[in-house]
Amino acid sequence: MLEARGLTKYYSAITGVRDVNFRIGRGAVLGLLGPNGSGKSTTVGMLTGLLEPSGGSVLLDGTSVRDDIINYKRGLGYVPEEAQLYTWMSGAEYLTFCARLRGLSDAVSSRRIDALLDIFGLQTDRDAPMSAYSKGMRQKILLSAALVHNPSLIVLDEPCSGLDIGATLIIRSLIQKLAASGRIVIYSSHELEMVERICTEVLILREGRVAAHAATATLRQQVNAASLEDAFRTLVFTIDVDAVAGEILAAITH
Amino acid sequence: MPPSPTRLQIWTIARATFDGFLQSDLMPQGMQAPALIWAAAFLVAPSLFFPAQFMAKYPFIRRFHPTLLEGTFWGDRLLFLIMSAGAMGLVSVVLWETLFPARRDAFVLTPLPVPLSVQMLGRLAGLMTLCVAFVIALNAIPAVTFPVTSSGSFAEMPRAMLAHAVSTSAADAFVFFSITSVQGLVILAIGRRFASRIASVAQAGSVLFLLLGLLFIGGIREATRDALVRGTLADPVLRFSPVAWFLGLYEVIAGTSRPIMTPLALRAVLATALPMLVTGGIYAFGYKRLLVRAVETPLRSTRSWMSRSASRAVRLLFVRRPEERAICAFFLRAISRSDRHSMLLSIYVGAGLAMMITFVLPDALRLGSAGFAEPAISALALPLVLSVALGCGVRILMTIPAEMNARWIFQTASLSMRRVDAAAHKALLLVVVPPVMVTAFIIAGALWGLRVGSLHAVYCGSLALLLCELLLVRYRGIPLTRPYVPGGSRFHLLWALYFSAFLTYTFTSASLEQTLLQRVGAEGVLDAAGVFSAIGLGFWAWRKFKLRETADIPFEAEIPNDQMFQGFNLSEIHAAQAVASTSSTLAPSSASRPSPPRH
Repeated sequence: MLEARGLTKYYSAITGVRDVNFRIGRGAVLGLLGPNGSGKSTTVGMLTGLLEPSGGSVLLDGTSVRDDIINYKRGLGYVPEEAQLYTWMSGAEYLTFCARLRGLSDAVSSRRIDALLDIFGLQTDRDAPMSAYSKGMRQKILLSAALVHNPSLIVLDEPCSGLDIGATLIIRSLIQKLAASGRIVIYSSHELEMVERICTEVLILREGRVAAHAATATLRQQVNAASLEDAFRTLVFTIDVDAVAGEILAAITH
Repeated sequence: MPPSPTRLQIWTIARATFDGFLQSDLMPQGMQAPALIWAAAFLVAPSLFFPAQFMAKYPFIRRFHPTLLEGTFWGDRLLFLIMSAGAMGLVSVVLWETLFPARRDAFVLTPLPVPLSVQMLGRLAGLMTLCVAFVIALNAIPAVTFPVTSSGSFAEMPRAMLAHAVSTSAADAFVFFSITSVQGLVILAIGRRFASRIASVAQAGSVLFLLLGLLFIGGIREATRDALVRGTLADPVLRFSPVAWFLGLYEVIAGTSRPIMTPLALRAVLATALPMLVTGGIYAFGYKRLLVRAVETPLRSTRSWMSRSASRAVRLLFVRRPEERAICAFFLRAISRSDRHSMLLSIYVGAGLAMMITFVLPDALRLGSAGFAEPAISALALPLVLSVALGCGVRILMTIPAEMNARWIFQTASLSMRRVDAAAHKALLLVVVPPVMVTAFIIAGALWGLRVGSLHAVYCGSLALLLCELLLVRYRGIPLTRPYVPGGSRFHLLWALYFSAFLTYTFTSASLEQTLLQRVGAEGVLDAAGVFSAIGLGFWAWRKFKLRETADIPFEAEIPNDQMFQGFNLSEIHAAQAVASTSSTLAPSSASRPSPPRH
């Protein structure tokens, strides 16, 4: 069970997130939703140990992760929002590097890396520097790096960014299988349709606070919406999108 | 009347190109401006110091030793020529990767509705502007102060100023465009991949060449002066030394009556024009090909038989834990592949080689091979000089970040401080100790036989080990993952201490080894090596003990309070900018003030 208890983060005088609470059990997929600036990345940063909370705590199975952060990170797999990589390394080198950082033996890591590169179709480019990789290829490397050590908690921040349709469908199925095998998955995204399909529960953030947290179906019922997109519009996004689109068109033709 | 669209496009590209040179990827964000201020301060200081000295020197020579006046002028003019051209050479080496259009330029410029000729002219104009900017920065002050303090009358001053400005500018242009033309020709002839592969060697070679020029400035001045007095145009010094040609140009413009100066001046003019024409030609006729090469050159595979074997050997023998292997491999790959780090390493290696040559050359010239018949201090100290250059260079590199945004992988990994420290320690030892031991073995083995070679390798290895332990005493964290804060070594305050430590480490240790070899034999050398290793081990144990006080792996900069904003100090500004530039990255620290991350 992963629990966020009163998570708060301030950047000087600016509030990143305030009093975020949720619980997620093993086998569940939590969708993290919210408009730009709502605090999704800050929340993910605190869950992954990249950011230190100004207040509150993250607990895994009832114990604060700060008590044994190294052990917590041992079971953590993370795909960041942006593909920040050491691009002078090749894909295979980077995955070996990550596997070693996770303490995997070379025998195990090379077997798993070979398999992952094969599955993602990167075998032919495995020894080319990642500076030459496309966005999708880099994303596949990030996904492989997040999974190579068989984590029990997986935090995915826009994992399908840049991926083709086939790879996106594979990731969708993979997330469901990862959860089914007893892992905790946190999925942060702007793709509402994908979130609706794969997440068992949804946490919606707005201006750094929790706007809603419920099972996906329950949330739809609560706001009487036909889809998650409608629920999201009702809870968070109150702008008339057609009007804004019209304004943009007017601005460029004026 | 507004400028034509074409002129505006050329101007825009030239400006972007010029800005791009100064905001090179080779330097950490925020370092460019302070680095340029430092460089300017370093270069302007001698141009103020020497003329101040000349205010007394020239009137004295004019009055009491008028026959020495011409020779003195030659010596001082050569000094300014060598310093200015040397500084320009260093600038060109630092900007190496940015002098010709790269992949990014191709992707940015090619889709724009800008004709290729306009792109070419814009980039060439940017390159010319850069050269002119540095020429002015290097020579503007001395072009006034030197003639003012050395001329005999007011009437002589304008001509002397013109001579100084023209000849030093021509020498700078010669160096700058020689380097650009050689690089351009290599890219066009052999390919960008090969050019980038030899970049490190070329950078180290350029630094070696330039530093030797500066270190042997006295010898060069003397040799040139003697050759001019001999007055034979076929003299090898006058034939092959560009410095002599540019002195000829200086003298001709200043109004010399010596006929030998005119052909030298012509050589200088040709030497200036030719590389400029070649660079212009490369841009004019090869620009399209340069762009194509930038886009289409496939990136070479990182896998090679040699690197695989070396990495396997290191893994089996030296670095066994996975986390340590990861950090070691990361560091070694970064310093060999990251443009910024490999360039800096090339500079340190070049500087080390220049110092090594400086150590042996006087003995070699004075005594010939007889000087090295027995183990000589100058030759015994060579590997130790290399160990200082490598050790200090790599230790500095460890503090210069590489792709800060990608360090999240370390921050989210389950790493203990003990493992991280062991990895940093092993990485430094791997880069420093084996090359030093091999160099020691080769030099001493070739000169005095395999037995002395082996002893010398062990002796130098133990000293290099001790040096590495000393260099790591205060080091904490994962190499290349913390913001760079210069000034930590306090070189500006402790330079005398560093200098005497360097001499003790190199000369005194070499002298001790020589004495031990002559009076005690192999046993004495091995005992000394054992003592040095034991001292190194003591430092290692002490560092490990102190490490227990560090619970978390540091990822943020540690700026000592006494370096923070206490007035106008370059290193403070430098430090502030280095920290400010990284404050936008996600980091768990209360010391810095991170801005909210993007969502």
